[in-house]
Amino acid sequence: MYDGTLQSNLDAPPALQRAKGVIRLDAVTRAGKSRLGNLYQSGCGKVRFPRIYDHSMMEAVIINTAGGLTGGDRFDVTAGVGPDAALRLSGQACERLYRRRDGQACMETRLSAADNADLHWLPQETILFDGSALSRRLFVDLAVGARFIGLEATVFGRAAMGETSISARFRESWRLRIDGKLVYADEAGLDGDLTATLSRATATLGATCTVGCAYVGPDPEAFRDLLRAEVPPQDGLDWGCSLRRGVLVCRAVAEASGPLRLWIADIYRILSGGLSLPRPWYC
Amino acid sequence: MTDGNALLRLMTWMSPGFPVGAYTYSHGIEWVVESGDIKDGDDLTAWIGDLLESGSGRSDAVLCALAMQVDADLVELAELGLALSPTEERLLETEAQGQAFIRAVKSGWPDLVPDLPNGTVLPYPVAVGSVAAASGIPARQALAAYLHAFAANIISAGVRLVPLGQSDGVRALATLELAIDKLALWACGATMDDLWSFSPLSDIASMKHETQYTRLFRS
Repeated sequence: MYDGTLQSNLDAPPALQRAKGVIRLDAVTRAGKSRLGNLYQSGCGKVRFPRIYDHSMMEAVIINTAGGLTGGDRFDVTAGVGPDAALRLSGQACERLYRRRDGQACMETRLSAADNADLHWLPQETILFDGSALSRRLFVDLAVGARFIGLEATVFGRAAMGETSISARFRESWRLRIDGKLVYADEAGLDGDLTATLSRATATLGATCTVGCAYVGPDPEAFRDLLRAEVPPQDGLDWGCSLRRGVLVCRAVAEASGPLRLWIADIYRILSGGLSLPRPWYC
Repeated sequence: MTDGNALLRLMTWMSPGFPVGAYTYSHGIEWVVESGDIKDGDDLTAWIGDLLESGSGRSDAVLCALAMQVDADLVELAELGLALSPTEERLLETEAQGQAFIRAVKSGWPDLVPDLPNGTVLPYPVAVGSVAAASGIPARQALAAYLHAFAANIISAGVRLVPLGQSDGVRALATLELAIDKLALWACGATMDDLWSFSPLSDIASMKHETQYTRLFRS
């Protein structure tokens, strides 16, 4: 006798409240130093600006106070660097993608840098848990004469939690423009049984960590050769780099985040002329 | 365009003898053979099967299919296709073959070459798709022919590099028939949202090929 009412309730479970984080900021030059221009933060998006003594770039640390993302959540970051200014962005922690009921989580980052600006985009790994769905998009617009180092690292599954077989949906998109012209793009995707797809020889041979990195700046050929000569080989990690249309692209796959992080630290040190990764990477 | 004409043109354009220089590219497998990850016909077949399922074969098929759509913006598609090339040598492979294909088609079928702004370079799958569409060739047939040539060319490189007997190469192509047909059929309905792949170790192989000591191939 309750069929009518119960049925409709069961058919449409109430919509869950979703997290949304928005961050917009820019770095400008004042009195010869990089300073914060505008800042906007809303929802679960927060930024902190730790004092830095070992280099002159402005440092910003992004925090997702929701502590992770699941289906329907959004996290949008927009950051610009003005002429001659220098900005380094990182995240307080690895972004965690939790099992979803429906929909997908969206992370969208839009970065721009003016002439003679430095922009480093250095988020920690994104970790996809079993049952998660993520669309991650990175748009980079550089003026001629801007310098850029950016990376996106991904860990599929939580090996430490015994999560050896995972099913998830992953889409990653990069668009890198110099002077408005699209010079580099990436469209990666995985869907369904990730364990099976990753085990392919052309994929990762079962390794669960991947990272892509791009460098735009002076002497890309010299940096390419330097990376090839100086990044030490590691067990459980395979990597390569290539210079194509002015963008030095580096890519690695690793069996665990330990070797992945060492590799990221190595290539970042070389490409940045001796910098260490931002402090949150070591907390 | 009759079915007979479509077949003849595809056989010509996708033949290993059509002057695009396909035989000079290994798509990175020269390194994979050197490193020992492709040792026999089965490894080679599995590698190409992976590329068709979730690697460059898949994304080439989508680019080719998108180029055949009536409202295709070839300039934008070309820009994206080239930007998606993950390495210097894979960019060369798609750029040089695309240019050579258009040049060769121009000498035989000048009416089929798309009218594009000066300096526009079409990546190979976009070049093939645009010409096939101008010719009125059905998408499924054009895609099947393109993907067959894609697979056959890597097999031919593998046969020379491993080295394998001719019969191993034939067996590989026979095994891949189903995957080629399935991908061609699926790609007919593909949209921009389907343009993705996942083959980091194939990309890394192409990166490592750049510094391989002895090389027969340009990619």
